Amino acid sequence: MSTVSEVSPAVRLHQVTKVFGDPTAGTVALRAVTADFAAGSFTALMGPSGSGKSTLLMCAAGLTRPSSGVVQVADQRIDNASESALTRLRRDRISFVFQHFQLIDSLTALENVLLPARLAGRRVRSGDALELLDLVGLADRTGHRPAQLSGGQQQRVAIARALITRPTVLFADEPTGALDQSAGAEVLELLRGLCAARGTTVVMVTHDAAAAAAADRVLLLLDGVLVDELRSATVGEISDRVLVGR
Amino acid sequence: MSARLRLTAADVRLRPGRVLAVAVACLVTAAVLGANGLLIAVLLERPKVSPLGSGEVTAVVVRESDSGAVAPAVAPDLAARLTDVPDVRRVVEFRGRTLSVVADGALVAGRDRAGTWAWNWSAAEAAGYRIEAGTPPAGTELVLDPRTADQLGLRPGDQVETLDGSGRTSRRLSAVVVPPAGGSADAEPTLLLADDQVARLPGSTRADALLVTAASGSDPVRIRSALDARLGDGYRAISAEDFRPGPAPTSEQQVEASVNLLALLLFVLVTSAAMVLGTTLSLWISQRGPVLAVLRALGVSRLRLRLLVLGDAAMVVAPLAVLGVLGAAPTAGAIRTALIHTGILPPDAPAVRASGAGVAILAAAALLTVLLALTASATAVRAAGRIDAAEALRAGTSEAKRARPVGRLLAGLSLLALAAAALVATAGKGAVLLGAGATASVLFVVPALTVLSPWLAPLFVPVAGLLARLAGRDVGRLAAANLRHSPLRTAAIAAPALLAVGLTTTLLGMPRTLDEGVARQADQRLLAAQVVVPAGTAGLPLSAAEDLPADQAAAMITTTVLPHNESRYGGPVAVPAAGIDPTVLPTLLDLGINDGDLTALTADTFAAGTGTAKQHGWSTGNSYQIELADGQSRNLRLIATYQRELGIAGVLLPAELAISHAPDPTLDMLLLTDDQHTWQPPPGARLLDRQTYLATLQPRQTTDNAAILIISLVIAGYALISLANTAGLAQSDRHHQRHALRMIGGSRHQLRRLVITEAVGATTIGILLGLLAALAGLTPLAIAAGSGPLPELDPRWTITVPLLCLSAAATSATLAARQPRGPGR
Repeated sequence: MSTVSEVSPAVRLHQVTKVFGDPTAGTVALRAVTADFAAGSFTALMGPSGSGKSTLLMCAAGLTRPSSGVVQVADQRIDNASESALTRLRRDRISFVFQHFQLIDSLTALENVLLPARLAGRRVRSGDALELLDLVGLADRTGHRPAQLSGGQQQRVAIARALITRPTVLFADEPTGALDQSAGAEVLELLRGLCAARGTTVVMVTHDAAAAAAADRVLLLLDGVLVDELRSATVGEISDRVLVGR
Repeated sequence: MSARLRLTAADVRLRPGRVLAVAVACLVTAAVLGANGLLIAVLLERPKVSPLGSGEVTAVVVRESDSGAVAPAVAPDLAARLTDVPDVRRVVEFRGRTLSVVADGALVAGRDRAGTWAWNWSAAEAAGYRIEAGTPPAGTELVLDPRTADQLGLRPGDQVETLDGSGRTSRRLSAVVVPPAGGSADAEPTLLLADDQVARLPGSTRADALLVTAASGSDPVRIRSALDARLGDGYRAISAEDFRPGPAPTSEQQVEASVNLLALLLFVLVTSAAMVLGTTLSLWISQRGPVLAVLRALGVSRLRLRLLVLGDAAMVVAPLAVLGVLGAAPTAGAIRTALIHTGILPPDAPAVRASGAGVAILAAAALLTVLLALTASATAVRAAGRIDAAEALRAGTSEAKRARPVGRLLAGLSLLALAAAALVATAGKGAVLLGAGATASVLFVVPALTVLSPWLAPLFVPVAGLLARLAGRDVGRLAAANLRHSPLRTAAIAAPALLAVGLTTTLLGMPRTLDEGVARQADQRLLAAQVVVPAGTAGLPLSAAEDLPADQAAAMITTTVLPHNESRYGGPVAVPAAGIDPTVLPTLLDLGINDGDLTALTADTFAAGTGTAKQHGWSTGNSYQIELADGQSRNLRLIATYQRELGIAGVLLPAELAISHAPDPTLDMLLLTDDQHTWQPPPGARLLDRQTYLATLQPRQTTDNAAILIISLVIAGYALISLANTAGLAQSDRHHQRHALRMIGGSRHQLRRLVITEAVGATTIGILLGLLAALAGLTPLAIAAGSGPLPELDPRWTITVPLLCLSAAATSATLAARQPRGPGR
């Protein structure tokens, strides 16, 4: 199925197909998927293992080139963009939050938050990073290294890091997968609140119906095809649809 | 296949880069150790040629000094004590002196010396020399071998001029003789004189050795045992084949020097291998942390985990060591070629060949490699048993912070204490002894700093951090943070750089610093206008100065003494000495008299260098029992000490005393007060003005320098391989970080810069520590040599080796951290 929003989308996928291995006999991960992600929206991608949701995320973020189809981020076509153009895109327009945080062990929380800006060669005031850490509730942990923080705290540092470059789109891959329920809820609340405040588009892959319920919209995938879409759904509704989809 | 074997095999298959680094270290270690062993064995087995051959003489009685060296002088009454030993048929004295045939105004060169060596007819006769033509020598007559006689166009009855300690003599060739089987090499001239003629030449009145001939059919071993029992302390009976009278031929000196060089190389290699294998294997083991954590979590006990890690290491190392020794023979061939090319080994040095002993040596080299690897990685194995499963699994990577082992700290501090002890023990004892102390010190300081590098490296991180900033604000700060965050990883890269720079800078800087001291002291010391030196390696005959005015020349007679009060730092060691005439010495040499008066150097006195005196605990005015070169002891009084002893004998004796107790007295040099333009130097001598002579003192013997250079480069090459290994290995488990950096906007170029900056930063720390270690050893030496606090370094290699280290680390790390074009891949 396809979904098209009325406002200009932050991310647009059109007839995206991804085949791993031999183009004729390989594994088809995505089959002509078309989807738009409106600016400032919070979308969850759900589906059973192997349904293609992570591949969809990677194609949308420019980490994997689709076998066919078009991908646009902020009106910029990225499916055929050069590697340096994709690097610039990652610096300026998109950010990531990972299941295992992927913080740099040798840097403090503050330095981790500042790192994307430094890599991008931008002059960022420490105050901006401190403000972000304050927003994620870690104002008193700025000098701590990742090993000195809990899982939930590390994920909050990762969110602050993802937001320091003021991205257009934030891709989150199972951001609560390594956290307990309480910490996961806190992280989702943060994602939702901060992104809404900054107008950031969030695309999140998750297995967890409770996490998906935090999103404005839920897209269900099955065997590489978008099979359903829910808006402002409850945990129960999402669970039911997922079970039906299976 | 057992589950454990499968686990190891899977680890090797999944992470070939990690094992590749271990493999390279093992292969190189086994190959170089095996090559070294093969070369030493083949050189030690080299057949020796004795002028006595292997037939007639049953045993040779020689005097063995307290230092264990064979001294060419036996007591006069010794022969009489041996005649009644059962089965002994005849005892003959053996005497030799430097004596050269002069033809067309030049000396007839021996095999590799400017002059030749002559010995007495009775000894030759006892050894089975057979007259081919002519009659035994009588009076001043001479006997030659057929080859030399042909070369000079002489026949029995012809006249020939010789030069010896007593001057020029015209001699008649009485006979041509053929050596016995196994006798002198073809190229070595045989010169024989009547017994009384040899005894009449200047020098000690004592015979060099006694040749014992036993009744036919008697057992030579039994005879030698019986002789040993009769001889008592200070003498021993050896076989004729082992008797090497006279100055050793250069080729044998070369072989002996090469064996010493290879033995030193072996020591340094074993030390380096322990460090190199230790760091590489330890890094590999520590990178297996996540796997070990899972096993620990699954219920594997600490002991079993350690045994498993040790067994895995052995399974990887053992086949590689065996494979490595297969490359030992070609490596030995390459080293032999290099030694011959640089003049350290003679061109006829035996080549490595297949033999049973060779196989045993290779097996030992392989075993040594395995043992070194396992012993050196013991700390890492122990740490593997202590792994915190929860922490390691939570971290998800092997980058969990690891504690620095206390055992390593204690081992490093102990080595540092030994280094300090070596310096303290030799401080103030003169440059020569301090040179030895500094060498020993550095041999401890370098491994000490290597072992302590996990503690020292963080101290140098700010310096490396400054360099890292040059790589840009974007990755420089991260590189510095990474260096600081993982001291073990940083130390693993820094250690081989430390080893390469520390040892090469020291080994190459030490002779330069000493040379600088020698040149400086020689310049300050030498007042003579001209100097006469031997043209070849043999000394000048005593007669060289006979037609010079006595008040215008001073001769220095080469000899040795053996102090009876043992050196404070070991057993008795022969000290190079010189016999001089003190009357004109003050106008020829300014020795920098410390105390006493050198002109009082008369019979029963001696003078000594300050360092030599301190080394033996001598004080001016006191008398000491000193054994002279012919084994006779004298009570001599120290009348003066002098400061400028570098490049000159440590002990000065009155000329007469030295001549009468040197078995074969020759002149080291002849000093002249004024220009002697009309004086014609004797054959085999060179007359040099002061400046030309001083210029000959630099550089040291090229073979010495080549030997040191070879050792240094082997160590540096070995350390570079290790550095490339660890730099690559250190990046191989950083893919998580690199992946994360790519995801947050890091470009491939930035990641490459980050990896290079980290590798270069850690290597810079090693280079700085290496230079520090070198300065710790060389600075006291430079001060003692009078060159001030700054030692002389070899500029070429002091710059090249660090640059090679930086290049190796950067290249290896870059290759190990190669990035796919896109982060998603």
